[in-house]
Amino acid sequence: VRSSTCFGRHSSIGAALALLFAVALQANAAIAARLDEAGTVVRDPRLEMRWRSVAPGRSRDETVQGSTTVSVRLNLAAWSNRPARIFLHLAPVTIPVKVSWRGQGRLLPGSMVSGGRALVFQTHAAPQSLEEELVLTVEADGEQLVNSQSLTFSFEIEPQ
Amino acid sequence: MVVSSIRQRCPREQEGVPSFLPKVSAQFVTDMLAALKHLAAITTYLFVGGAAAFTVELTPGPRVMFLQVGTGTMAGLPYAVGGTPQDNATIDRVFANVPAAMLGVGALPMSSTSAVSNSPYDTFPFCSVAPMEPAQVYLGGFVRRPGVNPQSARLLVSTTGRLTNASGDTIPFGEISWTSSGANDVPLFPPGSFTGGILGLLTTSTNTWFETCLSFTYANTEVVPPGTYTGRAIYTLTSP
Repeated sequence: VRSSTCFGRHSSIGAALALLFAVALQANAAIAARLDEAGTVVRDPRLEMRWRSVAPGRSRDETVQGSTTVSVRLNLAAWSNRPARIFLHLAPVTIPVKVSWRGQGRLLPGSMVSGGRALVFQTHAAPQSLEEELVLTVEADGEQLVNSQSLTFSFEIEPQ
Repeated sequence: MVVSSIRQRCPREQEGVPSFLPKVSAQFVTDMLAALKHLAAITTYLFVGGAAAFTVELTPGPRVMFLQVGTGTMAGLPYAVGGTPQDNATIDRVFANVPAAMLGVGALPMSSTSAVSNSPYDTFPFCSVAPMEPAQVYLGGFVRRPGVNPQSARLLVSTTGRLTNASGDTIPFGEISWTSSGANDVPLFPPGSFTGGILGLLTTSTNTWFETCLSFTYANTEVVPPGTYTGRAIYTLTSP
């Protein structure tokens, strides 16, 4: 009995190390971290959505859209000089929302739907910080957008 | 009975004694160090992960209503490619000239001052206008609003009293009737006649363009004193 107790103790340590090793190797490819974007400012955080087509057509275009500018400031100090990929993430909302953006070249343009994310930056050596002006265009179904919706964006980094 | 609480020490590994511990190779140690390094990095990521996100609040699309009866103004025709309806205060006239010899002998088509022949939606040739007959009056519009409500827009027409001339003679509004149909189109609402009051013409869904061409007829069932008889019909689009 005593012998088996000792056996259990040592094998637990070994198993734990092996598990940590496995988790770490998996995590290396999958773990993404939220970036410090405390300096980011949305120029017009309350977006007055407009009908894309003032007059509805026979084909029923019910899209509403709006645009705003976001001054993005990302703190990358923790990943400085390391390869990394940065994604823009939009949290899910109760109705489908499509977002597209374009910047001045430091971040990649792109589009996504709510609940998704898109690659906006990839580097072999991350800088200390990153600044960009993004023009954000949001589209939604005007018939579904009955009440105000809050879109929560965040930037995620995946070290490589 | 005595229960010993002294923990037994595990036997030390001795050379030549079979061990229950795994053999630890140099590679294993290297891998473990790498794993720990990764774990340290992960710990760093998670630690940084409390940073703020930015938010954008979407407001519903505005409620927009548009009705055009006869003459109208569109900026950037047609609507279908982004045109925008404008205000237009023009009040068109619908009229019939009845020769004395024709008084009270039966229906006469009425003409109109409206010159809107093409649909403002897509410029499709839709209504016939004077000097063609019938001289029709374009009618179209829409209600834009958030939400799905298939029965929330109503088109009404109201007339007050009777048509009157300068001498105070009158003709009932009911002498004037209409039919509704454009080119290659079905009637938007049934034919009818004014009542001297409010009349519902159409109940339609929001966010849908509707349009038609109205042809008016003077019933001419009465012999009335000479003069110009006038009255006004007001079309109203409503949505709660």
